[in-house]
Amino acid sequence: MNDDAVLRERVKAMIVQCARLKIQPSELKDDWPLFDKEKGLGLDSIDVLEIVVNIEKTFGVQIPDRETGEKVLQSVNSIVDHLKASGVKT
Amino acid sequence: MNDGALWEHSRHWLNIRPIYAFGEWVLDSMPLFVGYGITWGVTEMAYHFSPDQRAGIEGNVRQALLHTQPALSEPERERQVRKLVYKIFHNRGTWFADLSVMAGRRQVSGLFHFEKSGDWSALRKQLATGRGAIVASAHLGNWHGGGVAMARAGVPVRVVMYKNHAGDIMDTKVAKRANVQQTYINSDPMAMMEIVRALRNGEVLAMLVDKPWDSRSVAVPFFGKPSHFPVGPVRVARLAGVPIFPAFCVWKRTRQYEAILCDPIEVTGKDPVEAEREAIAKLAAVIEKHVAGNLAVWFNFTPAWSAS
Repeated sequence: MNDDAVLRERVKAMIVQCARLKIQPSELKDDWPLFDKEKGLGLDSIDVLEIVVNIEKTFGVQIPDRETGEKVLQSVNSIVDHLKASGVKT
Repeated sequence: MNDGALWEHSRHWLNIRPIYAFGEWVLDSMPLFVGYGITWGVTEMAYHFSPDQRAGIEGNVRQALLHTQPALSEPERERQVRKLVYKIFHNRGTWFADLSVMAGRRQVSGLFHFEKSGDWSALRKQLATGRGAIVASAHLGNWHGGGVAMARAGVPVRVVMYKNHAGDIMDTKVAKRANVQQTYINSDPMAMMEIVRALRNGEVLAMLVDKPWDSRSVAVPFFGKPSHFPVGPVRVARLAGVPIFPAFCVWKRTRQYEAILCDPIEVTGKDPVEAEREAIAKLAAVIEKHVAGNLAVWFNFTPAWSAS
């Protein structure tokens, strides 16, 4: 498994754990919208808080404001992109 | 979107924007005793034509009396329930009038008095760490007044709330005049970003924690029976690493309030779910104590033991 795949798996596991989803991390598609109730996971504001805090704790990367949050917390892909841009490799 | 449970809770024929605007105009433009008199009349009407709200309060007050005064005979308890429910409706009218005055154009600094009680230095100590805190209140007394009292005491306070059918227009005016910040959460998932930022900037977040705002709730003992309380506030506290200060603003005399700040509750422990449950149980116990001591200003119109 390459670095990108490892990072993706970690992000998925974190999202499943934070949002207490009843699915396996591997079932989570990379491009599923996190907040869309019909086409995605339908996460809410408390889930956002859990994810933001856990991204900080796990990867040491801050999501400092609403604008960054809106950009980063779109999908697994966007979170992974932000982590990679912040220097996280795996 | 207005999909929180509180949106449904706030549905009432008086809870419409024109009524709020009219109330504010009356309280602004007429002598206060006229404004409060008209409010009394409208409240009397509300008492007679709000069967669902009356039933909600009756059930709540009945359970509170059953738990706190078990020796009461049933006829005596029912007599007290009827008396208290009538008083609660009229006190709610006074609450509305007070808020309308606070929202209006009158000079209010000398009109409303807030006497602080409890250990406010604990909150100051917390703020001195650079991190904020959560102040948790209930539908008891004048919770908006509590925010005003905090702002007057120099505490940087932000009220976190759901939009309701109409009250938000008054809430916003009261907050603006008192220099209280507001964040509406509703279904905006990014609202929490603002909340986290506020806590990290040392702000105090004030919220009502006695009604579950969505499906995330936990049932804990409340007046002897399990009642659902929201998980959100304790989760925010746990994740942000800040304490929760229960607080209440109850009135003593006309426009004379007591702003009570209780000892902080920490949401800590190895098991986060258990830590949250413990904190919610502690919060419920503090709310129960203050509700029991101020039943006539317990403005919870929805059944406290059936929400989920």
